[in-house]
Amino acid sequence: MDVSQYLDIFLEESMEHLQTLNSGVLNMENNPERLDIIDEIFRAAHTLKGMSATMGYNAIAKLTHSMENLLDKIRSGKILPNPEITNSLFKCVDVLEEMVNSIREGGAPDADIEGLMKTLVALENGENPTEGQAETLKSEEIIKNEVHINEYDINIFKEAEQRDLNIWKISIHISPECLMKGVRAFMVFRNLEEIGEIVKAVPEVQDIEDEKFDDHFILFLVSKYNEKEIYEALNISEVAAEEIERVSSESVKVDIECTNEEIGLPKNIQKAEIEEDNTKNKENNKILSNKKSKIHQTVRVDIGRLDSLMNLVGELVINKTRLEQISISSDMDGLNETIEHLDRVTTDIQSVVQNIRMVSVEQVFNRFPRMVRDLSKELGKDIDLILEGKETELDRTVIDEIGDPLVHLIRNAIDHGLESPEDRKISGKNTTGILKLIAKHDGNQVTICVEDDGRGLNVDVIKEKALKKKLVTLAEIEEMDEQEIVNMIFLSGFSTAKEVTDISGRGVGLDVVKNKIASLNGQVSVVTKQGQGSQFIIKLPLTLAIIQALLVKVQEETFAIPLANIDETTNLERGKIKNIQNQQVMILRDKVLPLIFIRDILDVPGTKETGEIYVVVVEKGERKFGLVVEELIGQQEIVISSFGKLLSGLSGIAGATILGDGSISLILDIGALL
Amino acid sequence: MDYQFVALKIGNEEYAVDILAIKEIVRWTEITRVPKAPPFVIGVINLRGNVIPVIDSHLRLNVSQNEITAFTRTVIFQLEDIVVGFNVDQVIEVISINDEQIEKSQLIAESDNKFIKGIGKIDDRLLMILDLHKIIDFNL
Repeated sequence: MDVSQYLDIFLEESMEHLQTLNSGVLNMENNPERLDIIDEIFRAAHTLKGMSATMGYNAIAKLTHSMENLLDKIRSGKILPNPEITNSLFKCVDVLEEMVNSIREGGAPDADIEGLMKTLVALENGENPTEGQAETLKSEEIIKNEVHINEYDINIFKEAEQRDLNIWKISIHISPECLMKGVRAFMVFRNLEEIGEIVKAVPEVQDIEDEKFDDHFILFLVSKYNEKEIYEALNISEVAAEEIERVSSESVKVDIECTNEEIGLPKNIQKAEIEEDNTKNKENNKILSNKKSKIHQTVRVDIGRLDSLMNLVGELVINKTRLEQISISSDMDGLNETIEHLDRVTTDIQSVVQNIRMVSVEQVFNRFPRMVRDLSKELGKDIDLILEGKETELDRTVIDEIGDPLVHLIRNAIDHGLESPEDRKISGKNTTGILKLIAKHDGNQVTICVEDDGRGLNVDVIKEKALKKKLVTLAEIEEMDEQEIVNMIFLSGFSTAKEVTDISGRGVGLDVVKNKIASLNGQVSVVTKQGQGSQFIIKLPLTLAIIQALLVKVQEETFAIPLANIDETTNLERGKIKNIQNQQVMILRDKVLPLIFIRDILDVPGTKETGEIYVVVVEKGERKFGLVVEELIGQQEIVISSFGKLLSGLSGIAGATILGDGSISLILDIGALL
Repeated sequence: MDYQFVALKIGNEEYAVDILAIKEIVRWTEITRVPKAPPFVIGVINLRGNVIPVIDSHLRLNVSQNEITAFTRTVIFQLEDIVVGFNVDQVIEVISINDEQIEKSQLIAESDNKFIKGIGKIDDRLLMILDLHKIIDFNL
């Protein structure tokens, strides 16, 4: 079978399952008693196993199979989860991720899994030294946990034995991808009834036919046929006989006695606890099933198709603007009305398409608990990670890009921000550091905060460092206020860590973060209080494709300035421009505002002089500048088109947009321009 | 083997480009200047809603500049995922050149133009075959 056409789906789904595994194991570590979590991990491993086996990636299937065995032991309570187990499971997930990634890159999943598998088997046999024994224990486990055999059943078994018939206990597994499990189960029954008699089914036959079972069910078959023939009878697609085992009325009976004996007094107490857990689990299941129904309502769409839809909407918006301009100049009755309607429809379509492209930040946030756990172990710091606003939505493109900067900020916060437990104790703080990751909507923007309650940034250290690295002069620093000094950490070549560690501080830190955010039309800023922690605030636009901008004219050229950057606009007579140290400035409400002539910095040709000029006040970080232009055209919704690869990386120009009259206007990138 | 080329006139010389790299040929349209771009990128044009950078052939190949005439065209190239326009003085014809007619070594050394990857000889015509990948490599 050619499976290459399913490769994309396989990759995407396996990443999802790996994510589930990661967060599941993390959850398990924190709540080892919650069986539903282990079930979840088990299901993810199991599905992954099935998928990879179908695709022919046997290494993945093998490893997940070993994981499954281990998890099964935990699930049945044979082994208690311990740090060693969680660590190995994490390692497995890492290796699996590696393998999936190498498949994505067109290679083969050839990671070394032998050692890992041995560890898993060893852990699995932590209490049961030999594998064979483990197997039998496992099957008994199933009888104890899931199969309740009563006197009536035993009588039937005995009767069968007297007639020299075999009793087979058959575990049936139906592939989770199977759509009509009931039908498959019915086929199993039909085929088995031909060769024997089903005397008992767990769950009940009726429930099985109504699909009220997971992927497994167990049947007891009384038959004169042997194992091989039963296997043949079960040769149904999407159905696998996992285990066929001959049992006798005696062995079953012994099991029951065993179970009764085991449930002594201490067990009863445990039972009460388990019941409590069960209520919890039920609640969780409720949440889980809610989630499931939500998943069913989604459709996977290729991002490329959405992009082309977005492009079409973009063209629609351009043409709408163009029509509006025509209507203003031609003044026709009826046209206005139509255009207003068109305007409404376009705006609606635009917001719908934008919404389709929205993905919740959960996707990005989900990888952090694991990362924080690993780092906290590595550095010996206790950290409580709090995630807020996971449901906040952002454009898919932004989501894809925002991961790395956040990783960087979180690593920084853990490595430099949060103190060691001892230090925290000395400064009178709780030994567990708090790291908050908060996403929230803020008007037309989304704010993501990385907040720690660590030692905060040390202004003196920053000063010293900036001087040493010759990023500023002593005179300059004396004029700066505290916030301006703190902002220097975003300059390239700045790293406050005293030593280079593996986790952060390679000197490429925050300027990379800043550039990345800037390339997404966002801003990053920092608020810090020494001894109390710091807060990095990232502000991002909801979408990258269509923004509000102010169109301005400089000589004969038109430029667009993103509204997000603009504080205000004002007019100015040429005579009021003042000179301070070769820098032209103006006084705006008693404050000195440095002026920047777009005409000069962008070498705009032309010599037209107007008496009155306009100043667009923009913010860069915490500082304000006045951009001098000759004419303000107005505010407009613009569709950002990139120049393509060829002209990427032009500093000061974020892209271009096509105006209503078909001409092109360049979008200024304020962050890079000044 | 025969290859199809499009013969172009830039300045007073004839050039040829691989027809498969050409997406379309459009008439001269209004160009918007892009500040801070390399000097031979004279700006961007609006090609049915797409913003396409345009390289001026004269500046790029160091050929004396002719005026914009009724024959001036912008040839739109597509090389992998890069789409770029190239201003030429005239698009002459589609021409078939056999690889035996392409001179690769000697003449190029003489012409000392790094953007030429070969010279096609058809009867008494000489067509310089442009290396488009080098033309869009801004480091050259």
